[in-house]
Amino acid sequence: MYRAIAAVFMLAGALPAQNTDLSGVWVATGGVGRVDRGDPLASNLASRDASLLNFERDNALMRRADPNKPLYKPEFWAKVQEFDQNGNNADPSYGCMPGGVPRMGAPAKIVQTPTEVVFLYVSPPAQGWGDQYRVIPTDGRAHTPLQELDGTWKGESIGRWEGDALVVDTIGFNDTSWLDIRGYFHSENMHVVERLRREGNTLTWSATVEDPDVLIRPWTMNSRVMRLDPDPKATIAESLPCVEHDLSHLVTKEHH
Amino acid sequence: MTSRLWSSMALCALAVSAFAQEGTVAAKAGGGHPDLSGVWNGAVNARVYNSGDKVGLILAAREGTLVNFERDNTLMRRADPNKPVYKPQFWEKVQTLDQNGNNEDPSYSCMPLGVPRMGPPMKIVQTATELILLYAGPQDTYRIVPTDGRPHTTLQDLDGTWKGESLGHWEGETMVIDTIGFNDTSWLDIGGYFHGENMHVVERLHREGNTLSWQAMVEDPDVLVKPWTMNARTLRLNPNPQAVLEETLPCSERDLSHLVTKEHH
Repeated sequence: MYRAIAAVFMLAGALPAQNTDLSGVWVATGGVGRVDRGDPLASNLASRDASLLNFERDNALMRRADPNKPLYKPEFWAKVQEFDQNGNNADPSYGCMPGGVPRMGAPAKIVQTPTEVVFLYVSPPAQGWGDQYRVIPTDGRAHTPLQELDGTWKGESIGRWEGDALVVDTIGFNDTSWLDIRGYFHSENMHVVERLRREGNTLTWSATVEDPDVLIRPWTMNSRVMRLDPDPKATIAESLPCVEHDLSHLVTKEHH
Repeated sequence: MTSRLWSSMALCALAVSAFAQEGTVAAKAGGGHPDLSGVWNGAVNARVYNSGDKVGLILAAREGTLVNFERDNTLMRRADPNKPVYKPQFWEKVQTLDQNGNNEDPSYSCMPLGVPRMGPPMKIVQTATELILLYAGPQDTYRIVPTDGRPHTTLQDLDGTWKGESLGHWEGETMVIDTIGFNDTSWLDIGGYFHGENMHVVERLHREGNTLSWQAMVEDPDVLVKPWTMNARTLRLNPNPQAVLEETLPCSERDLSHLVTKEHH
């Protein structure tokens, strides 16, 4: 009897993992330290009391208090600090540039076919990543050699299934994007591994950043948990376009 | 001038007749409908820049090259007889917007093109219930087009947006995408072609073998005398099943205030 149950569990573990279906609209859960507005934008916004009250300072404080930071080599500490302190002008997303991978975070909607997974994003209007998408082949192809890739914001992403998790491996970045707010720059040799794992109607996204040129060791970003929108006809709202007309008129260095 | 006019009219007619041909067997998706999935980045129009890359879909050029592109493109567009016909009270407005296109054209300051100016998609992902239209250049963006038979949201319940609310349905072998719910900021096309929030756009996608025809019809009784059918575009399927879309460079508007001419293409 016990053996039979064990066999059933082993069999379940051996089922083709490709059957995990990530398709759907995934709404960020408010969770601890996240804005809970029931819309996909919340996945980008940190907040002490789950509201947008006093958001600008609140967000900056929370991020600084977060102990999970990338560890830069000592020769880059001054550079990170300078970028951070002048974030209004140094942060590329403040000038409407794309967020790039991994800063763009988790997708708001996923469309999965047998050979590829499409990530669809929405973004707040103050940031340039807009209605962006990523097409992630899962057909077993190999990466293009790094030296043949033009460095881009999103890089070249290849997906594969590890058990029931989708693992997205990305190389081929420019060195303009930031990993996250706070001046976290990176090099063109950055390598990002994202994991998306569905359990029931929740989806967990996490990303690990390897960049031996500038980081002492790989950095695993805080994971994000999203829940499936139960409405099969759910839509995602169009992102307002980013406008940088105001950038030169800012009088403080407040930056969230 | 006359010969240019005639040749562009002939091209227009060619495009329309290609669009009207029926019967070629295309790949079928589940449900018996044509399968529009794939990367459609080959331009076969005669008078666009034929570089074999995504930019070729967007740029009109007399010689199929980018030599003297800026003036060339402007001339070709002005010579095109297929223009939206505005009500007389808007003629002056269109002309002013056109002549000051550098500052008036929203896409010159990095705003989205919107529907229908964004044209046909570069890649289509088709599922049983929706089409995902992916655009790569001049702006990377997407559209989600439900094909599950749902009705439109009431127009007054929609926030006007650049892309509007698009719904798709099959008419025979043709995918018909019906869109309402626009802002009044986007343009239909270069040339100062503004529109109202009541605009209604109907796009038709028709696959024949490995070519895809796209055509859009614009209804806007607030400003147009009659519906405007835009020039059709024909796209070629990328034969490489592993073809990828190149990432488009982000738009940066820092140069806008430094332009010294009104050249606008």
